[in-house]
Amino acid sequence: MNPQSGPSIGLENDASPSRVKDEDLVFRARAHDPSAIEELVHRYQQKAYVVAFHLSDENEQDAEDLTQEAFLRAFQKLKTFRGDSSFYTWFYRILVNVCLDGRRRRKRWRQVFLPWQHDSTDKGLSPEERPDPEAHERSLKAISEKQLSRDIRKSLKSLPEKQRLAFQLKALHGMSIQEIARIMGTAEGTVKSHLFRATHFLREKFKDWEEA
Amino acid sequence: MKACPDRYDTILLAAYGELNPEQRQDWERHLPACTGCSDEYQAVLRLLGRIKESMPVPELSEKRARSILWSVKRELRKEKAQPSWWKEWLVRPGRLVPALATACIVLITFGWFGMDLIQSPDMDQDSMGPSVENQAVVRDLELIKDIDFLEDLDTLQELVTVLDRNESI
Repeated sequence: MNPQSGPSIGLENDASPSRVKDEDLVFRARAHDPSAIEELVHRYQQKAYVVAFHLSDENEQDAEDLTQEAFLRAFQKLKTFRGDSSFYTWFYRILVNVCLDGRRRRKRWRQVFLPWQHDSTDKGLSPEERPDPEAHERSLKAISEKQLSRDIRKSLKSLPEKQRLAFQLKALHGMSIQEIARIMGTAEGTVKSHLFRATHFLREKFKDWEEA
Repeated sequence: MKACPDRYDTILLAAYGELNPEQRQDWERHLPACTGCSDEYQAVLRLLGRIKESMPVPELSEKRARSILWSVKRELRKEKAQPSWWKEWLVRPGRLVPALATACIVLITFGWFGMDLIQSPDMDQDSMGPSVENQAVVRDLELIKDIDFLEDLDTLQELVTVLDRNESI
């Protein structure tokens, strides 16, 4: 079961001959051509929405707002796009930044207005949610699929931001390490390091499940 | 059996489909021979598959997709129609002339003081302390004074010699 073989939501381009190239659309969009803007939005909004959904703690409304904001920011900054990378890599970098900014904003907002609420997204699971090791071990064998899914999602949320981002873009969105490095604005070796640490953490966390 | 410790990165890269052709060949040769690595590789693949399955992949409805497109186009139209804030501010009646007049006054004032500073270099020197040239002149004067003093000493010495001679006679 190769994770790369599943239904891909990655960034690979559709290479059908009738398809207008992204570069041509970008050129026209710079001149405020509405049909080019429409085509670019149409081409990437589904993938962008899924990325935003996963990076915004699975909130549909937030994901929609973030997707919209990313497109808007991309078209506003289109003049700064020099074509060093493909449009989608450049756009996804904006999207990821918008999502991370949004997450930090929400976190700050919660800290200011809802200080009594414990933030479990970045500091790991709350003490109530965190099972004690023995009970965890016993219950893992009997855990249902649903519970396991919930556990996996919680574990993903407890990863440090960069590890989580690298892991999600790779494992869930099928992007290559090279693309992730460009999106995160970092070296490929650093991405690999984040990816390996995240995978190692999850592997250790779910070793019992694997053995069961 | 455990996986080879030096192969763990390769196992992960293989699971992510990120091995280069050379690494892949090496990995494919190693895999059937090592049960530990093979088991770990399969376990990582199962875990990644399980994680992917557990994360929902939401479908953007036609309505939401249209709403995003419409909002983006509306914002871009709005921005295109609106000039930037400073242009808008300046274009308002009664603002351009006072703004230009203020700019002229500021330029004249700074220009005046600027000229003043250029025309009075002494002030600069004073503020910066004695110049190198001045310091050299002071040093020379001190030397001349020293030479005069030495000459005076010579005269005194000669006088003492004469007096001594007279006394001895």
